Amino acid sequence: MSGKPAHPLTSKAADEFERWFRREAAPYEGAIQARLSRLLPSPADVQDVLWSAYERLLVSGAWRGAERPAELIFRIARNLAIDQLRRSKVVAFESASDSYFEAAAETPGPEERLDDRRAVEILDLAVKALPPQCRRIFVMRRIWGLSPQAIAEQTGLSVSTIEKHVAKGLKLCADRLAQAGLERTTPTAWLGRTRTAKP
Amino acid sequence: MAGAHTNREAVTVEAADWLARLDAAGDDPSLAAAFEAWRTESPAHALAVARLRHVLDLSGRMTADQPPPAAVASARRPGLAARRAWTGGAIAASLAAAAVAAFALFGPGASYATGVGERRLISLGGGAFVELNTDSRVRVSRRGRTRVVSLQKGEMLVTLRRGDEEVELDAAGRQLAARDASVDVRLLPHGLEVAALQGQVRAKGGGDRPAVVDGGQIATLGADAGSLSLVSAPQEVQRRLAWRDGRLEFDGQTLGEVAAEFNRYNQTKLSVSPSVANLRVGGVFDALAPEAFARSTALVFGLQVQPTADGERLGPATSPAA
Repeated sequence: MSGKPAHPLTSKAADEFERWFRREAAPYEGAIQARLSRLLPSPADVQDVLWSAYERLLVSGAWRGAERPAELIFRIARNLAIDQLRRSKVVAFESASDSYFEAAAETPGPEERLDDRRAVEILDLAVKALPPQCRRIFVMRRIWGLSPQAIAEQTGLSVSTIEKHVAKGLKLCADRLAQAGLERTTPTAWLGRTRTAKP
Repeated sequence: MAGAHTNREAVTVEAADWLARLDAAGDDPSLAAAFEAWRTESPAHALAVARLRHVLDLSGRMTADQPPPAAVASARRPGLAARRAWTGGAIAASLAAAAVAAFALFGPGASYATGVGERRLISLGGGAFVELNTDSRVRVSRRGRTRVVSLQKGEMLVTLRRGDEEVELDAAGRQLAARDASVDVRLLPHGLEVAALQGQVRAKGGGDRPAVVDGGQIATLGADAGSLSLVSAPQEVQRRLAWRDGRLEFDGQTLGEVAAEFNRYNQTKLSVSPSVANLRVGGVFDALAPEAFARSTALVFGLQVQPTADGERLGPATSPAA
């Protein structure tokens, strides 16, 4: 590649996609992820496949015409997941029965839409789970609305350190919100396993 | 697909850096233009920005339990005040006040309490917090120059910031001194338990040398000075603090203990029949969903759930077709 890359998107298109994403896609992510996680081994794989689905929709512009956005996203992501399974050879695809994929066949319904109030609750928990210094700064900046200069005076940190904490908090909260559909909620019979100490 | 997640992570980190920079810089047209160029460079960039701005937008709707201290509040950017939804009507008055030293906010002392299933975040000023767990009560005051946080009921997590003065934590008649630490204090029927997440807490009393509780350690103190037992258990500390995320985590606790724990957080009470009370449970659960816990546990262990006057009871299955 030489010179500047051509920009595939205009600011306007990116803005419109963003509004669509927040209104139509984000509220169903939890439900879509829960289904994808039955097909794919790890949460990282689920996120990868979801991202790929969004990118395809964005580039092709197919997101614009979608009558049922959650269904469209889910269908694309699920097909990508199945392709990945085929390639990974972990599942002998030819011999896998139809029922293996049945669990992930249903499209998320409107009752599974995560409303903003519930999303804020999840975010509230995410903020409380941030590392202590990051949380202090994030709360001061984003919830109390203090200017970076005021935070700098209060904490003795530089404005650039404050920016780093806000960025870190933002990313960790986004990760947490993304994981909301993947939480394990079933109990296990405790088998006396010993946990290895974390470094 | 290892390459895909490293790329996704890297793009998200970059997008977060951009948004934080824009957030701190205010109105800067050349920064805004550079950001737009980066954002439209690839669909992954635009997507990362969409996801993070969704979080930013949601965070703008979060409310704090307590307003910031007046001194800090007066330094806020004008215009931002209208966007925040504060609790309490005295906010406008405190914002209009001249800069007042933050510590004076707690002169005569203030009490805070939570109901069953509630949690509260209480500011001590300057970025230090108390997180109050379910069904608890705490009093924050000053004795001379020392800030005192007294736990009167339940459980709290106190997080102090580096460089701040020492804070005294009182509970069950014992005094602890904490500085630059994050420590959970929980009242027991006769005494208290201290789980240090990080930093150091000193327990006063009981001889010339106060006992020190380091990060990753749990100390059990009796009501009489001098009785203190200490264990090093960093993962147990983490387990005990799952409540901060609204969850309860178990790693081999008995069903009886687990039910008692759920009952701290819920009006719907769980009881357990003696014959199954010693089954051991592992897992992470929504603290406010005892019925869901009872149902799934019944499935895992082959038990039966029966309604009681104030909740549900887990017991052995009585019929073969359970």
